[in-house]
Amino acid sequence: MKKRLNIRISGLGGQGAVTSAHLLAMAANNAGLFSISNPFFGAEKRMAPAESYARIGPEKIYDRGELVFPDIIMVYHPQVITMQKSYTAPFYSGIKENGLVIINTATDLLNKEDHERLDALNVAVFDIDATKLALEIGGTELSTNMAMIGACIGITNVVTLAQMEQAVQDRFGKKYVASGGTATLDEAIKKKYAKKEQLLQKNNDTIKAAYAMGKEWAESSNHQALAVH
Amino acid sequence: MTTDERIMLTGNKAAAWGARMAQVEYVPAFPITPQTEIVETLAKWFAEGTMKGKYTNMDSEHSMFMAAGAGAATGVRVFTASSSQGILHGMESLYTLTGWRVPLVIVNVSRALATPITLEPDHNDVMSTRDCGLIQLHAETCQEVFDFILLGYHIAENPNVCLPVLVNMDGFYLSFTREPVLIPSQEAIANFLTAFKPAQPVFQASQPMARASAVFGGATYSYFKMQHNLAAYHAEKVFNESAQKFSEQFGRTYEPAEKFHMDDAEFVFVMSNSFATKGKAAVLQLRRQGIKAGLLKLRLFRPFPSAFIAEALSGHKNVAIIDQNLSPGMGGITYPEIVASLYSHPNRPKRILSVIGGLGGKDIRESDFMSIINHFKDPESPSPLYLFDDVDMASFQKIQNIANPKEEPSSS
Repeated sequence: MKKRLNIRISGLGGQGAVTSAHLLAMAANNAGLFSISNPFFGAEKRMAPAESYARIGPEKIYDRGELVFPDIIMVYHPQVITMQKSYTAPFYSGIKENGLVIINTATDLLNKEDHERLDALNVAVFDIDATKLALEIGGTELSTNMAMIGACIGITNVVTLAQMEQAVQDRFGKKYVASGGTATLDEAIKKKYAKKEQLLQKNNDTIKAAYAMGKEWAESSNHQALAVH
Repeated sequence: MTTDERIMLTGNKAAAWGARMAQVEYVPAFPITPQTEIVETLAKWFAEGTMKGKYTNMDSEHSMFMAAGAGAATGVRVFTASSSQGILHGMESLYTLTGWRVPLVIVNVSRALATPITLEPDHNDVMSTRDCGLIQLHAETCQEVFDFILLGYHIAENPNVCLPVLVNMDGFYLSFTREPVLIPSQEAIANFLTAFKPAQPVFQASQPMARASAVFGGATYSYFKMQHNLAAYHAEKVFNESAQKFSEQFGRTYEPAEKFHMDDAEFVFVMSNSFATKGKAAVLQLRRQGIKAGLLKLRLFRPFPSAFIAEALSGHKNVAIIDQNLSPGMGGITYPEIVASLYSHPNRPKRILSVIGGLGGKDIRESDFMSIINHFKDPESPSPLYLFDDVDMASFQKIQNIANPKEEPSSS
């Protein structure tokens, strides 16, 4: 990695925007890069605007807090755009030239003016139906954030799939330890543990599927911004 | 955990890890945004048995601080944390327990004070505890949060100090910000921080005593206050000794204030807490443009290391003291303290500018640092300089227009 990558995630409360910025930073830390992540939100409630930021780079990171000039913007929910549930309006304000926007949507949510402004900055836009992927592969729309980070690393290669899987394991995985109590208790813990493992596997599968889609799109679109390395 | 580990932690989690690795035995707690994650994490660790001792949810910050002080007076290692309105609610207790001369560590997660209400940081909350007689350490990074808790117990429990240490971190910018933190092994920590041995007699059922006797006439009261004052002054020496030991054990060196590119600096920013990181980024950027900038980061705030700060700032032409707090009708709170420290110094700076910024978490941008430099160039420019520009005014007016749509939207 030669230069800093600043990622801004705009989502709604409950979608895991904060968690996924943490995962990106953790994966970057696993990769031996410098990283820092932080959220911004007002009222801590579902469906309220929630933003998070991940800064990843080859050198010590001195800035923190709100990310005003991102290289990448990820939009986790259509309402960020359609209902302006965002701390920055329009949601892409501050995006750097040759930047990248990844939107969770099945249809194009941008109007003509949005497209013109983003084109003028040579910003690439990748629409991915992350919620659909999450439902189909993850079995729950709560995996939407996994699909989004999968697409992000598929396009940018900022970290490898293995490093991200490790971060997911570090964040959510728990080592199975026998309780030392009764066999019934051990059996119950084992069951719970197996269920968690299954959930982790589904999340990783969601990341992988979105990763492949992002990678394919990046290779076919040949956009300057997408070559992070 | 047996070896040093580098893990991604929020400031809140780093604080909880600090209490855990200091093997704290008692935590009275009360939640408040943005501090809640600290006590939530500790509650879990006590419930799981990862931490041994007692965790209690209290009914308010007032009783929480009283319980913390009383706990420390029984001879156990105590930790607690609060923020903003919580600190204000517990203020009476804070004065009480510093007078008891009990060692413990308190974390304050800075959040600006109401009214208007907000969740984002500035330092009026921690500044309100300035005169309580606490030792104060202000953290810039999640690593400093963790380290200052260990260092805090080392200083607080020194028989010549016996005072609570308050470790300050900014809400959001540290509390919810995840960055790499090195957690040393319990064995390495044991070499630095040994079990708490109270220097004073402890509360015991078999040995009743009072810690809050009434005194009249002033002489006894004055004696206690002067003792307290001496202990607080002495804590600077203890800070340096403890920091030396810390450095030998863990390899991270902490001076009372941090000098960043100070040697040849013609423009110096004095800052504290997490926004100092923004200041450092600006210094590096200004130096790339050929402007000799530097930064002095306040770390030990009580006792105030006057001589160290005067020494560090002397010989520099222009010094801007950036206060992220406001005493309405007077200005920044650290400004007069630094000016007083420099007053009798022969080589004091030609210009010392007071700057007020970052209130309620308002960003201090790179352009703000440039405007400070420009402010110095004009000899007539007033002090204090308020970091509030047209962009900020426009964003305020936008809200004003939403709140009162009858008014003509004059600027848009």
